[in-house]
Amino acid sequence: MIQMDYKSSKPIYEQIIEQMKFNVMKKYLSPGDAIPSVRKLALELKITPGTVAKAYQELERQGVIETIRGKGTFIASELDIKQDDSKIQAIKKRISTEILELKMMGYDKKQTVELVKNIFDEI
Amino acid sequence: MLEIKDLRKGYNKTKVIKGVNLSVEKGEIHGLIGENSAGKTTLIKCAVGVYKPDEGEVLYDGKPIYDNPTIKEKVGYVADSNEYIGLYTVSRMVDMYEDFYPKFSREKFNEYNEIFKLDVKKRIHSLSKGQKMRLAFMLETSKQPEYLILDEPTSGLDPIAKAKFYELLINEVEHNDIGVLISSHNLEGLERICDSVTMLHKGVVDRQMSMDDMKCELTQLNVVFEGGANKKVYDMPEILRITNVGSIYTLIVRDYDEDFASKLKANGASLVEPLDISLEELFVVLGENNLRNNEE
Repeated sequence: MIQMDYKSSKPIYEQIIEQMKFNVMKKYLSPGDAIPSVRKLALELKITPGTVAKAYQELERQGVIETIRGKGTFIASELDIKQDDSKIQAIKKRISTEILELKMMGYDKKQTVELVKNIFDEI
Repeated sequence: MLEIKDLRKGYNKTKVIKGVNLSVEKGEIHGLIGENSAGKTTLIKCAVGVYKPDEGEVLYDGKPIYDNPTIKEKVGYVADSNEYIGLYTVSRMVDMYEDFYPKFSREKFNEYNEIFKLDVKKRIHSLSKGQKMRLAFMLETSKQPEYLILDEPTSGLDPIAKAKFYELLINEVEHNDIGVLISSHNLEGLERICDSVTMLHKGVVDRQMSMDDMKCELTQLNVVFEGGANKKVYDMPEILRITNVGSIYTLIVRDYDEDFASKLKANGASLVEPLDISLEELFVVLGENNLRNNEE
């Protein structure tokens, strides 16, 4: 379900968050699906339970998953992923550095928008 | 909660445990690591009430365990080597446990034995080391304890049994909210299950913290110094170990942050890439470092 890239400099808990969201967006995981407990996922991915717990807390805060006491952890039944302003600002910053790179290679506005459109549809 | 308070224990004149504090909450897995003869087994034997502490106390939910059968019923203990009555068959041993422990569940034992597959008609003296370990784990968890104290429980287990053991253990913790104290040299396994960890060194606590904080203490870095690293780099006090293949250097550093990356770059590093360090490697590097500091 989740593949780690241990060589990546991106923190492991961020990788978990990202991949869990990707699975939801791709509909590989649907609302109400049970996901592994913190300890199970830690054992499977060979990482500490604390790292998984950190990722799950963030996913829960963002409304992607929910924990039902005594039952387990699930993809949220009513998925409503909140738009977080500070997050959007951070993403904007990341996108602009990438676009700058395209621009330097000679991409015009139309080509860039086309590229973004394609990526959007792929996800 | 299991609380070990200022525990001291020695044999004759040799002091083995020299003032250890440790606590384990229910639902928590606490790892106990340390080199050979650091005092792990002595500490554990005090923790389960086999040994009487010379000083200090061992409390479970506020009550001492030594000479206290009601508390001992609530505590499962898998020793580093488990000798039962050799002439008994496995099933007779199960009968005995059932007589001794009111909460013992035969269903649970049978359920576990579906996985660990011991022949219950076999006599215990004919079991191998790994099979005795399986038996001990099954008997002690079938007592339905509130706490499990495990001394090197994976030694002698084959890789398949080891994987099953970890899976069953985390199920116990998650479903029954038991507290676990586990000592092991299998650090790769501990890393994946422990919430917190105590590093014992010559009878005292060297480090005690959450597993994540422990792992943050040291960082492994891949660094490229084109044309080689200069002497200043070798002298940096933050670096505990430095090795290289050509111009690619592998550094192990204490408390890594962005500032340190800049410092390396100022000294000619063209690439600084932090990598996760395994508990095993961390333990080895800290051990080497202790040794070096002792010599100085």
